Amino acid sequence: MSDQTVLSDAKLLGRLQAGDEASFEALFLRHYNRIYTVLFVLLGSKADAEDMAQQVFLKLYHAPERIRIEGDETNVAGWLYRVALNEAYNALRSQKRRAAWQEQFTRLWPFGSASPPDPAQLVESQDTQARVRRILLELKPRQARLLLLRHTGLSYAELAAVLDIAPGSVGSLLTRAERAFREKYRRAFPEESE
Amino acid sequence: MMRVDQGKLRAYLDGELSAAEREFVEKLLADSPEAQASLAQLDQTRDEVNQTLGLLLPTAEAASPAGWALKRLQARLNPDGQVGPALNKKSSPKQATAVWESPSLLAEIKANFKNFRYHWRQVMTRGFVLATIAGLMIVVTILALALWPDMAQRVAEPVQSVVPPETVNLPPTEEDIPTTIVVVALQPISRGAEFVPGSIGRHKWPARNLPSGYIANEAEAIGKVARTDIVQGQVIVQGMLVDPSRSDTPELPPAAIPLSAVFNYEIELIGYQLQQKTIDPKEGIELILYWRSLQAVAKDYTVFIHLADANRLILAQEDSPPVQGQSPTSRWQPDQVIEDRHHIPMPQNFPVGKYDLIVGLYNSATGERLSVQSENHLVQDNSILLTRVQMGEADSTTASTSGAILFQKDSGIYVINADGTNLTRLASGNNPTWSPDGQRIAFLATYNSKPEIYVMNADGANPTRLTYSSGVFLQPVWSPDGQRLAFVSGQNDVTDIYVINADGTNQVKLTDSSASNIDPRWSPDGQRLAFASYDGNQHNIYVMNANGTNLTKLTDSSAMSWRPIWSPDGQHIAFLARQGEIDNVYLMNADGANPTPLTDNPSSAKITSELVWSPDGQHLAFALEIDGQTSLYTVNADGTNQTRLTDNLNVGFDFAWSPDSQRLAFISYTENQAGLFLINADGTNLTRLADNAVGPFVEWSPHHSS
Repeated sequence: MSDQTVLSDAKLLGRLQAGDEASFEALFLRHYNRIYTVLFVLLGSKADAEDMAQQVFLKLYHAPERIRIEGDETNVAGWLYRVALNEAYNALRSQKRRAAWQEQFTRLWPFGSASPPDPAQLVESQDTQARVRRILLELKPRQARLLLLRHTGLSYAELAAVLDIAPGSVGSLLTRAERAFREKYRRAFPEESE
Repeated sequence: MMRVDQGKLRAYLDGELSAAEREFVEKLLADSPEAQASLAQLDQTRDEVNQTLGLLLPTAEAASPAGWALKRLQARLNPDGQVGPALNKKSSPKQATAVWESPSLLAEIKANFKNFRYHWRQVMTRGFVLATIAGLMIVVTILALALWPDMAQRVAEPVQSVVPPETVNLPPTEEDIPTTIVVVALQPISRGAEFVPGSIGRHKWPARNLPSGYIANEAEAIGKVARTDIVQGQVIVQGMLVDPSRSDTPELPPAAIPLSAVFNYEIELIGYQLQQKTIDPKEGIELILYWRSLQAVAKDYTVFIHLADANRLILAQEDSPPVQGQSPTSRWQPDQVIEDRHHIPMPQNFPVGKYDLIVGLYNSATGERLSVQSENHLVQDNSILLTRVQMGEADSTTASTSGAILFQKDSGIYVINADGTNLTRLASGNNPTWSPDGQRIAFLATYNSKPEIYVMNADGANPTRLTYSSGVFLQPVWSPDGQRLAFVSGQNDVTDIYVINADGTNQVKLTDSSASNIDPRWSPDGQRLAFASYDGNQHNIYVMNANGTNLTKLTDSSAMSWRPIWSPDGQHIAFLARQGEIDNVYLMNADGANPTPLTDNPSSAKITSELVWSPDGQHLAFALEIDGQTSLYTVNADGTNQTRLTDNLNVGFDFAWSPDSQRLAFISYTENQAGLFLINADGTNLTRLADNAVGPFVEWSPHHSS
């Protein structure tokens, strides 16, 4: 595996597209932790984040040709981030709708505990993490993604590539997003902000 | 003076500037206290956000080492532990159970079906006599040998996982043909060894699709479903037959009340007719019983009819062979229906009141009662509770002019007059709902731990089970003409809207989707049904004809919409919509046009109840939760005058308007103040009618009682 670890993403992708399993392993080990971290921040559950990270890498595994190789600039990480963010946001959206529906069902269900819905799931967790996550998700999706990726360690160039924005505008977009976040957070939890 | 570019400063702070840019910014900073202040502020914001968002990063125990994750992924890709590349390898679909795909087995079962039916009777009457079941044994052996390992494995698992998700398509048939399902007992099932492992029963199923591995609640004995108290044992569907030739139930006169009680697997009581609703003690009771012979009967049995009080003390009785001895049971032909008239004289000075009418059969030679099983009537001491009769005129002083309220308390269904008099327990169950004429009550009760729909008279008499399924049932709703009930049934997240006649016949599934369909609501003319649907992504309100045709989506998918309710004039549908995070009551035309919010709720408010339209169409009632307090509100149907009616009470999910639209009944969950309450529609005159009431459902009788 040692030769794999020094190869660029583009080289590994090329080999993967040719059917080389070991290249997939190298790409996985290289990018898994960052993708997992982003998903964990959004989903807040180890199991969910691991499952979804697997989904993301399975997409790469089954269809590596979806990423175009452009010289050595091929952005495997950017593609993985984009897929991860889309999957996570879709999941969150349907989670929210499902929760709302389960709430309806819980109210209709007249048989107490022998019931299909689990009311405990419906009680919004009051722990700090959940509240912070809620504020993050209340931001405009583009701002939330920017904050999320920056604060999990992406460089300006990576941010620009993943989010498809001009590298020169990252600083000002970041400034605006952070202000919006701070303002929302302070408004929601004034007692904790001072 | 140069302007301070915040973005540049921020990039400087993050070390993301080129050397030239950095130099430029540093120069600027040296000259400009304004820029320095900006930078300090940016730094502070960045740290604050970084700290807050840092709370979301995985802790040490939530870390997911990449090596392990890769192993898990590889295990998933190569479940057989295969080594080597698995790229582009498609996973093979799981092997389905073979029974359904085995035409030879199906042919075998079909060929044996006529014999099988005959032999089955022998088995049921005489026990498992090997000599009589050669034909049956072929099937048993094939099933047992071919499928035993698979079946045995399923039985060992908990019930939930016994039912695999795949469904089995029956051979194509016309609609509404009774379908017979061959079931195989996998372990002994109650009552001695009548069902021994490997024995075969049949189960009637109205639908054409059934999950394989389905666990039948009842095994069909002869002609009708006989209850088998399957608690310890399980019956698992292993084959399915379509028997279009079999007629369902024999014709009864219109005035007769159908039921099913099977005596000793030989004789079935299929209905009865009472000549008078209120019995005059001087005249006694005129009762007609309708019997059907299920097979040739060797012995002559005697009918007994008892009139018993609430303590089961027998106060009057009649014993006689059927048709006054003119039609002894030994002469009955299989499938023959016998009309059997009885007269039960009453002793003198019989006290006015309600009494149970109980029927059974016994062997006059031994005095031994025949065992009886009934799916829809109460059985006690090998006799069946036919109905409850009123002897003499009912005491009119208990009747209330303001109607009666149905509610739940102590896991029972109770009724109380709106003036607070005459609290009565009617039945064990949930979700009671008045028929439009106030004469009957539909409700849910559990059978084999599954909720099923029952209908009983308004006084609790004659509870009759309507539904049979392995799914759950919710929300029975009477059609405006009182002839039918709509309800919700399904498993887990997939539920559908059904209708069934109020006598339990003709159950039809109206929706057929992988969605969660709930809240069926009849239009006031009974022609259409509105309902709410969640397809895993969108919540919308639909309307369809009462036969399921002409399905139309009424709402715009951008909001989450549910709980439709028709205006009493049928022109509008009110519903609840969550747009963003805000719940509001909306009104739209019955065709979905012109949706308009009636309320303007703050974003923290949540509507936690049904919407309930006042009978006069003027107001809608709902519960709104603000800051942890759930209060009862009304709003005019034109959106004006939103009014909070309750203070300091947490109100439940359902309310009931009085027939004159002047008052509301509701359940309060508030500690020390829990119970059934009444309140005037203007918020005055709060009264507690009953304590310890539990939710969620409350119903006010639709008509004033006389």
